Amino acid sequence: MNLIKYTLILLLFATSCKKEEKDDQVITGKDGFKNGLLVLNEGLFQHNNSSLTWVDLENGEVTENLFLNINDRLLGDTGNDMVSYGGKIYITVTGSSTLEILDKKSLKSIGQIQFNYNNQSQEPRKIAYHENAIYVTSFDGYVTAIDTTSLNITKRIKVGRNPEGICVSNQSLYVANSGGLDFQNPDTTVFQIDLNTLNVVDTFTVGKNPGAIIADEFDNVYVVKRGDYASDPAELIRINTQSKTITNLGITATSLSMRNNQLYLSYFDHGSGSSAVSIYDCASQTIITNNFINNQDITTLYGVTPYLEDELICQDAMDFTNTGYLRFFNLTGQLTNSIKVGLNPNTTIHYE
Amino acid sequence: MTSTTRNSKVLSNITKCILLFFIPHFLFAQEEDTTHFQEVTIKGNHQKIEQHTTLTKNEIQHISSNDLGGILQYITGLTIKSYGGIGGMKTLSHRGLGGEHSQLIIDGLPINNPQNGQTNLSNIQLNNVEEVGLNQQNTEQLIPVSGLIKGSSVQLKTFDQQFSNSKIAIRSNLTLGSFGQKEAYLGFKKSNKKTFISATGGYRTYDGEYPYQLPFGDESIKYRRNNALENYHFSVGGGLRWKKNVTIQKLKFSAKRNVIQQELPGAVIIYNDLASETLETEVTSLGLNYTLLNRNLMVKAFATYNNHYIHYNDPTYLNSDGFLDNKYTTNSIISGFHTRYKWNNFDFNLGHDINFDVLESSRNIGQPERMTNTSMLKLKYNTTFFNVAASAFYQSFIDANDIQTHRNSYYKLHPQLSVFTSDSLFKNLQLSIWYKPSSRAPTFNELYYSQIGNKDLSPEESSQINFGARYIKQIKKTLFQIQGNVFKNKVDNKIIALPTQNLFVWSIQNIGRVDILGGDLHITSRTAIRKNWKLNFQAGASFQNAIDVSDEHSPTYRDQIAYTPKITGNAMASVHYKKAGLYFTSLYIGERYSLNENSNGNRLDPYLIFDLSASYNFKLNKNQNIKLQAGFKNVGDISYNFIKYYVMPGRNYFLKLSYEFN
Repeated sequence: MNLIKYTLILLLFATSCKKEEKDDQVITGKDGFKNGLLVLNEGLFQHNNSSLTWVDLENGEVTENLFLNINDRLLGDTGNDMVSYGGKIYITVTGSSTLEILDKKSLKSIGQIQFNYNNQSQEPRKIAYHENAIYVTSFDGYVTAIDTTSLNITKRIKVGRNPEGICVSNQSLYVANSGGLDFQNPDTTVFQIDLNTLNVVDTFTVGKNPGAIIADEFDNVYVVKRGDYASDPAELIRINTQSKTITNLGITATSLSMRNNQLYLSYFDHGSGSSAVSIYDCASQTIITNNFINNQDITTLYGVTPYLEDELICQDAMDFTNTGYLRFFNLTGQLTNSIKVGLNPNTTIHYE
Repeated sequence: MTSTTRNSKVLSNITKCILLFFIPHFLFAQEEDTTHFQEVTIKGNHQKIEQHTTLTKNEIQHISSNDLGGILQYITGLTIKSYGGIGGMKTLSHRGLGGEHSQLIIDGLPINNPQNGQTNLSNIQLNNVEEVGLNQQNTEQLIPVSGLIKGSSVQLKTFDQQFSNSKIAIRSNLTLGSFGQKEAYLGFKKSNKKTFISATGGYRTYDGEYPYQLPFGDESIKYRRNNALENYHFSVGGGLRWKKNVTIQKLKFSAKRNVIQQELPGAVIIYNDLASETLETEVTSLGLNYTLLNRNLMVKAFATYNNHYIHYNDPTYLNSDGFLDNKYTTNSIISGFHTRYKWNNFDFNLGHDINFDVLESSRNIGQPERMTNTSMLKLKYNTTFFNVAASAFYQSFIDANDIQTHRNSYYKLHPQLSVFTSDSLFKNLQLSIWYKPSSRAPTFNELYYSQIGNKDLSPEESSQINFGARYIKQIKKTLFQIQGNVFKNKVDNKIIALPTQNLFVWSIQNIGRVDILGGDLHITSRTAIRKNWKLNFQAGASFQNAIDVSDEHSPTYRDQIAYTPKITGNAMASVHYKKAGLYFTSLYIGERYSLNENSNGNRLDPYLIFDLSASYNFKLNKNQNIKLQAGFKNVGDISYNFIKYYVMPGRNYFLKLSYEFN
């Protein structure tokens, strides 16, 4: 018995020695993670340095490399999207071509799905969810449906070229086909997939290189056509899913988020290096606030997350090669806080 | 213990080990090699400092590197960025200046790569190389002026292009190594007093499936995939020399072809080892070299043509074709002369190089062309105590591309100055100071590469100030030499690639400024212990603080620039007893960062690598020698990488059988 005890102590010692090589201590409370922000840092392409950062909202403590510390392995290369659904966290890791599934409370990995098909990396991009299933776009031109209980792939749906954004409106999925890897000749379409049959039922032509996509509660789907980064600018396109009409709203945007039917548009102009956030009211179809944050407060705007009832978190990618920040703003556009989180933060989830 | 303190402790321990390790190291260079290819014998004061570090044929054989990149690591002050084992790209950086600031010169002919600005040193094999030298400033050799204006130049002399005393000379070897390395080389040269002709050829293959292990959690041993290589090369050469009164003239020609087909493993991507890119490289070149030499006048002139074809293929790219396939062909013509006239205590040098490059490709980047002119006028005054040299270089880059309207031509005058003491001033001690500015043109990729290229780029400007000292002393049977430099370099208008709209769309801009302060120290010693015993040692260490001073509001302000280790060191030792030799080399690369931000996540661990080999000579007769060499590389089986996630091979073995006829 004693032998077993000492062996266990030795083992414990050995593992704790090993742990010292890690960057940070693990900080999981008894009830798991709560009252904080979980940030996905994309990292840099081919650096395998995508990571999770935890911001404790009670004491402001920041813990880096959470995934590595908890799971004893790396998250991988280029974490592109993270969603929280049904007690789980789903992360698409594009370069590694994996989908990580974590328990939301403990952030322990409960599954890793390799996105390889025909001996080729599929490069998963964005995630949508609906009725116990998640839907993942991948650059090889598919949407993969995954059952959230069994974590099995239930269907692969062929869509357009290099699909990016995906959202749910009524009983349909809307998928933005970017064609971004055909540099001179991008795709221009959004596909509608019927969620009951999982078949493509309609196609909308919205303009070159569609990317981010989001739905409101008034049967509208908004998509950013990114254009050609030159004469054809990145603009917001509205698809009315009932009347099937497509309208260019003429508002510049790169990424989209929604709170109470208000659409938050972030826009980073790489030419001038300026960042802008606008709020668009989906009920009245008007811009409420145009560019209300101070451009000086952000270096490289990499997305906006509505936070609490009346705050905003702007993800600042800091020229893409330096450690990024979360910038907190109130609705009068004042910077209230900045927290250094990781390389290229692209998604923030608020834990209550 | 936090990781930072732990890391610094590890580092300090390693540093201590290095210091202990290097202190007793000295060098003994084989005398026969030092003047072997000195085409000009410099009369008089032979202890004058040549800022010229060389590795001799014997040293090259001892190090038994797979390519030029591997060998240059042992020249103090050069850092080689290595992306893998055999076939893995290797580029050099000299004292914090990018590889584009160095010029490679093979047998007096400059080799350039206008497409990406630097030569892949892993494509150059060493079987026929008899001398490798680094030249920073002062040299008596009349090298092409386009090489003299660069921050530094690396010069190679090959078996193929040297006049020989033997009627027939043969060089051949067979090598077997780990991970499927198989190499064969044969060189033949027929000479008499007035002519030589040479022919060489080589073939090598490599599987490259070496194991590696990443230092995270339960990562198991994995194998490098998609890393095979097949390479053949051949050359023919010839030379004529004639003498009239006191004037010697020489004319040499060469024709070469090097073909490499390789798989590109890329960086190790966690959970994804499906990379299947390939690269095909074909280089064909022709060269002509002329030398005139008499008591007062020396003239060198050259002309070279280079055809460089590369074919990149990615069969898994997720575009609508389902693959990416790009072909690039660069045609370059370089021609120039360099002449020196000696009059009393004065040397007058005059030189000019003209270089014309054209790139054609399957990509939509037009057909870029460039005309580069470099002129030099130099005056050197030699007194009893000092040599003072002042020169003026004039550089011009004239670019054109049929798909664009306008790009400004660039003209710049650069003065250079150097003062060297002779050993009449201080016995055994020489001091020097020199100043050297230079411009390097943006590469065709930087200018025109689709989506990211920026045709408005200006050339990158560098300047170097160097204080050097060398001390030579004979102590009993040991000839001792210590050489040190302190340098202050600067890079302005540094050309930097940055991601812009997103991580996949980058742009290239002239925004960087780098300040470099550093020093290096090189100790050599030659000892003959007893009649049959010889001991050779040498060690070098260099320090460079190369910091980003582009923008004081940037988070990387005053951080060490990416992939520039502050401390590097090398040591070589060999013991010879009669026909047997035991060789030891070691290399230390200090910590560096994968990005300019000196954060923990970007930090790469220092490493210390040892190689060990032994050889035995079977001298068949006066003319024939067979040599057997066997060795371990990376004896400690260290898991290391210079570039993040470009893992390098662990312990590996080689066996080499050479035959020479003279």
